[in-house]
Amino acid sequence: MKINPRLKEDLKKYLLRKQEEEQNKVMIRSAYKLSEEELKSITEFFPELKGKEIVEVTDDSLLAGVVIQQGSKVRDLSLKSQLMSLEQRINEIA
Amino acid sequence: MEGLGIDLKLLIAQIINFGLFFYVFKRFLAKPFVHYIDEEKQKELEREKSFQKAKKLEEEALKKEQEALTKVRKEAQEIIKEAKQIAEKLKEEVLAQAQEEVREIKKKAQKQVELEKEAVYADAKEKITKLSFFIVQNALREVLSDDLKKKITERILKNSSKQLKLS
Repeated sequence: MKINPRLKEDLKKYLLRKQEEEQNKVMIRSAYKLSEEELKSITEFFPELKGKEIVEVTDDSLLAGVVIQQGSKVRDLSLKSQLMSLEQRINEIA
Repeated sequence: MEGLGIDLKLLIAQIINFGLFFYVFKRFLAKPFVHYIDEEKQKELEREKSFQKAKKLEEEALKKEQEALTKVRKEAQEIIKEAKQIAEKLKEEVLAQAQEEVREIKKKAQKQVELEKEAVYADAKEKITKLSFFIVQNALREVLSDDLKKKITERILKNSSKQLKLS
């Protein structure tokens, strides 16, 4: 299927722009409302988050810890995920 | 002679009469009669001979029939004996096969039971684990205060940054 090269170029640019926007946006989900100090300490622990737009979301189901999502990359540091991985390991072993 | 009552002339006439009768009888009657008697005797002999022959043939035929019957009976008994042996052998084979099949079925059933047992056990274990963790999660949700949550979050972040540095 032959696509118009101009259209192809525009689409490419649009997607790259969207990707960049997503990369610049960071969503932090936590079980409680994080303070400024805590957000700062998170950025210190993960320096690549510095300078990014941080969106905070409260999710009670995490129990404790945080889930950091940057674009398609997700770091699950919640207590819930640790309990789930423990559950999986117990199922595998026993 | 006349005093005795014997008439000579009559006597002579009777003797001549007798002689004539004898001659006529012998010439015209005796021979055919004797011939006839002989013929009859011969026929009788031949009849007797044929009868004996037929009787002999009948006896022989009867004997042959008896022999054939005996032979057939013997063969039939042989066949029956053989058939019985074959049937006995077949019976044993079928029994052995059936026993083998029963053993196989028993084995398969035992295996099936074991597998099902394992499946039930695994399922129960999974459910118990899930339930346990569900209870723990709910309990933690109730029990964890904001301070505890903060401390846990801090500890998790420290540990994960250590792991990142190590990797």
